[in-house]
Amino acid sequence: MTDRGGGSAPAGQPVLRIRDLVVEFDTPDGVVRAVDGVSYDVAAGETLGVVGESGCGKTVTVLAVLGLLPRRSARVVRGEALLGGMDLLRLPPRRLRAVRGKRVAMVFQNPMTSLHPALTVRHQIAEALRAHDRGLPRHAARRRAVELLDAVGVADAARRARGYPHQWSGGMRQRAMIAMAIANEPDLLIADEPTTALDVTIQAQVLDLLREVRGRTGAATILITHDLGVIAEMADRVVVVYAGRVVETGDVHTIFHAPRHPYTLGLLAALPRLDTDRQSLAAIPGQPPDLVRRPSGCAFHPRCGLHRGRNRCVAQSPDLATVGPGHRAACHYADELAAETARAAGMSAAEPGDGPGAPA
Amino acid sequence: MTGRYVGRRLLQVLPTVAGIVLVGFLLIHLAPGGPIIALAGDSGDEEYYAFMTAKFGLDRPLPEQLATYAGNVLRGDLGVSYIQGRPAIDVIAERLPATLLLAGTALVGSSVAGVALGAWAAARAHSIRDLAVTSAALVLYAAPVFWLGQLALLTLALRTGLFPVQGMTTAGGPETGLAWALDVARHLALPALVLASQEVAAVARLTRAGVLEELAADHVRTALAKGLSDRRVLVRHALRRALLPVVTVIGSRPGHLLAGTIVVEVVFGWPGLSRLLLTSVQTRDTPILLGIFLLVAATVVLANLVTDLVYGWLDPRIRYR
Amino acid sequence: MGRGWAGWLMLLAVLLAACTGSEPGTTESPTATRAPSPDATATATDTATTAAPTGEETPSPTQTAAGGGTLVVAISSDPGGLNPAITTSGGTHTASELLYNGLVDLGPDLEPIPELAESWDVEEEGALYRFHLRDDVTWHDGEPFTSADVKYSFEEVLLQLHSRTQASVGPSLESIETPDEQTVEFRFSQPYAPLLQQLNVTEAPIIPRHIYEGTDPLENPANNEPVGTGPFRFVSYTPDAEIVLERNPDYFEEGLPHLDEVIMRVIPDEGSQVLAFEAGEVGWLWGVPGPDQERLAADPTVEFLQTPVNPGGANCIMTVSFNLERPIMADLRVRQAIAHALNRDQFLERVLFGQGQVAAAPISSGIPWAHAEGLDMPANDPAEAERLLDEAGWQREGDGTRTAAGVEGVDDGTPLAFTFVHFPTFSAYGELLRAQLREVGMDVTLVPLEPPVFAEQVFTARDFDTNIISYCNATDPEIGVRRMYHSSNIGEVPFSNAAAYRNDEVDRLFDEAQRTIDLEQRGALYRQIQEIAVAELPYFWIVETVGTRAYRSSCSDFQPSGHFAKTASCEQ
Repeated sequence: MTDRGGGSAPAGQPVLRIRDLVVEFDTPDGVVRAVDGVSYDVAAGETLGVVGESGCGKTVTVLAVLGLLPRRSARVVRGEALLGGMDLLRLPPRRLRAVRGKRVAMVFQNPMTSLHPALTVRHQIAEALRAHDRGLPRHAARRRAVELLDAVGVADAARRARGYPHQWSGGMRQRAMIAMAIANEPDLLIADEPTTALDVTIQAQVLDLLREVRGRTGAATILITHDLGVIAEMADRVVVVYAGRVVETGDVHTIFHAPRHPYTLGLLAALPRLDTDRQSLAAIPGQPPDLVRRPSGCAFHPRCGLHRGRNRCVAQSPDLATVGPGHRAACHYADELAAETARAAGMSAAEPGDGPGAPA
Repeated sequence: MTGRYVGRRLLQVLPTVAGIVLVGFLLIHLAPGGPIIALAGDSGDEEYYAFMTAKFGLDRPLPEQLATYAGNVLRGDLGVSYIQGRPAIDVIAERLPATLLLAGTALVGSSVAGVALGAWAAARAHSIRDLAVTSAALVLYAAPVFWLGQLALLTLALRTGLFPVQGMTTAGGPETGLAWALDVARHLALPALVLASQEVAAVARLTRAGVLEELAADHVRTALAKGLSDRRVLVRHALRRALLPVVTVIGSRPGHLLAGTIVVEVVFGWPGLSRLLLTSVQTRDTPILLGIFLLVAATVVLANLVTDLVYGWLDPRIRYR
Repeated sequence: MGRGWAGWLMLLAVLLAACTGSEPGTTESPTATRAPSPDATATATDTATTAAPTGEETPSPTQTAAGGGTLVVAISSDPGGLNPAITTSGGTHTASELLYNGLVDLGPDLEPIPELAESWDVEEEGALYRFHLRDDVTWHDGEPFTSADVKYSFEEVLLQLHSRTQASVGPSLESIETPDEQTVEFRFSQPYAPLLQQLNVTEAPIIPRHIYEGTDPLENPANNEPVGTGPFRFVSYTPDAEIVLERNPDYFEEGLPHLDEVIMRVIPDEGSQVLAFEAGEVGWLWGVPGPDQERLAADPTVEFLQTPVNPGGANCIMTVSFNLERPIMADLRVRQAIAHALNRDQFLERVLFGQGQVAAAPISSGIPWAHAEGLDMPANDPAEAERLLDEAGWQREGDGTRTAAGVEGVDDGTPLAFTFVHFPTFSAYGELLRAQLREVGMDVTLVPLEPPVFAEQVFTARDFDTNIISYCNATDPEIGVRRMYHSSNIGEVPFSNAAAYRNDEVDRLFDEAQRTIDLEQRGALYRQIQEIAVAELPYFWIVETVGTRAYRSSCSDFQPSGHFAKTASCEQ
């Protein structure tokens, strides 16, 4: 099977389609359903932002797709993850390995621990190249690795590449991880909290890099983060995840200006603002749900301002319903929210592009 | 940088070894009993005892004996064995090849096998193969060496005739060339196997624990995400760091394997240093005893140094100045 | 599966053998097979008939005239050197005696047999011995053997370094003269009766003057590349592994030896020795552990040879000593009680598996002319023991330990508890003794000590109540018995008079026996000594120990010790 490089799918065509993915973990406290029927697509050339609190299942979803979950304690109960025509969840291991790092590549959150401390940076990138091109001689791989580092903006790449990750700064390490991920020109790049562990100023650089990479290769990108500012800056479309379920999806403008799920609204409202008189952050009341004993009905209802004791929220779990063009939300009372947000729009509204790290 | 470090560490060897030999000297002389009785057997009269005591200088005050001995050692003279009348250094050197052969084979074999088994078990943790490896390791570790040795002799040597029962060579067998090497190899097999089985356990369990921990690390996930094979990830990524404590354990064994394998050497009749040590203790043959102490001390210190150097190679974050 | 169980039992048996420890490293007696009479050399061509060892216990087939063969022998320890003149160590002697000779050998009844000396004269009632040496003896390197070798060996080596010879012959020897190359004269300050018993290869091996003169015998490298006159020549010595000897074609006893090669393998573990024997890697065992004897006996190809003569010591008796300087032991009644309380047959059975015999007299039955018959040895009689203890003032309540009530030198209420010091290898004796003595209300504490420590504690510090020692009588009471009883031997020298026994009459009798040449008269004197000893019980003699050799029936004609393989031959 020939593997096409990134960008060969015509823009707009879905590169990855996740359908009704359910993932469970065995824990000492019981069975945890971390992903409870997640579905979304990502198209070539687009950046899909996946946002949600820590532990909401956004990372587990992609790990499941790549087959990187721990074998003993995690299992995919049902679902599909279609890359082109292949269901990644049902591929035999050898073929899945051919996909990983070649057609789908991942950048992880903490570059210090995600890189092997005892192998040179050059070696680790070269390894990624040679894993998918057996015939590539070592010196050629090394040279290419240095080129890649150069391309992601690492100064003095040839010399630094021979160093070890602990000798590099945080931002440079993340660049190296990105270089490693794009080495084989993947169709899909998954970035899991790529800037969370970095200083704010470095964050900006890395995001710039990601944008540049995206532009150059035309790959699809899944950008997982809990940081709305990053979403605002980088994403074309947004998927909001809560308690292992997708609660809202739409293009970034719509999500930011006209959210239709109370959770999304809560996230936006919790953003710190300099242009208001508010003294404290408006946090979403309550705690993230216990995934072993899920709340009945809508998982968000215990914390929802819209719930107001209405029974439907407790009895029935809402499905994703279309609330506008390309915009879906999973809330029984999504229309009520529309009215409310419109009211509040005059008072305070987050604009796409207002988040931290916005280009000046 | 490393060269200077090595040089400094080598300098540290001398005072360490000297200290050990000093303590050994004092302990031997303070312990009851002396070498004359081994020579006299159950006979001898006062004249004999007086004669032999004076001959070996055992009636001199202790500081004088110590000074004499220290002076000799610095000149490379380890003294003359009371019992054998030959230079101690010759007596010990004679045993060295047999000892190194047995200890070296057991150490290398058990290290390689232990690491391989531990990694193999960790790759499928909590599975049947993991259970098999872990319990086998435990059984071998707990089994007394004497019993293992006799069992090996009875089943593998006596019953099947595949291996010889005793010694390092066959009586009247080939003395040179390939035939001799094969003869020695056949004799080496069982004692090395028994010795290694005791060592394998610790190495395997430690490797398993370390690999298990490493397999949960982020960088292993990255490696898998790159599309590397399970085997490559296990060996090149997980194993490397998991080996650090294992290297420490392996590095602590040479001293013991050099002169502490008395049971194996006795059961299989292997002419090594441990047996020499035992008879020297029983006969209070001080020059030999101290010579062996010196050798073992030096070995332990050098093994420590090598361990540290291997550390630095395994994990470049550890740097020595 | 039945065979599998046999294997496990064998393993268990081997383990038990190792744990209980073998018998002491005792020597064998020359009472078993023995070499030809003095005339053998004349009829040397017919070695088949003259070399006819028929041991007491060996149903060995009559030898064939065929010779040759290689014999592999198991030895328990590295000899450390191959010079038997500078040490009495059993290991060295086992490995090296085939390489050398003594002046006079000993027959099965300890009668002197010519070896390097072909004849001798005893003059001045035993104050002068003149030996006429053979003129056809050469050293392994070709040099001729002369009287100078004898003089050198005694004066420079044996009388200084061989502890037995030095202690016994030394004191009264005045001079050694060599009037010519074939004559040696030993002159004593007073008649010395036992000389002829102390001149075999074990007691006084002759070493080459031309190699050792002017050097330190203890450090001469020839100790590891020996040159002797013996039936076998040195080939190689791999320390702690193997010693290879080959036939000496120029040996002076014509027709001997038969074997081409003798290879000695160092196998320190007894169990492994037996395994090696069973596997065919070894053809001669110096000692078979008790538990293994039955199994080996079931094998029709295995022959045994039992003897009280072992390279480390001959005619050994396991002897309990009482420290007469201690108040508890100073009382004769207590010693008698202990003697009556002990069941010596049980020791023979349980510790020695029936190998050996209960000691009937203080001097071993291996020295028949000195061994006293019909002595009144305390018999096993626990009731009598209890009666004696009651009489001695040791009260007993029920089945507990006795306590003192009116015992001289002991406070009232002190329990009858004392120590029993022993080598770790003799712990089986200690266990049995403690159990037997507990029956009569004695509380014994066992103190196992390694030989060097034992020597210091018992002889230097004299810190013990009782102990057990394998006292080897050797081939004459003068060598191994005197030191136990003569008051001049109370001192720091190990394995001398442990009891600190003092009896002027006994001293006088020993001194007289040393001077008395007539064997019958000597015997009578020793009998008197033994009667006194049994009456006064400074010691108590438990069992005479023997060694059990084992070999394959494809070989034959062994001797118990010393030149054990001189007359032997093995089928190819």
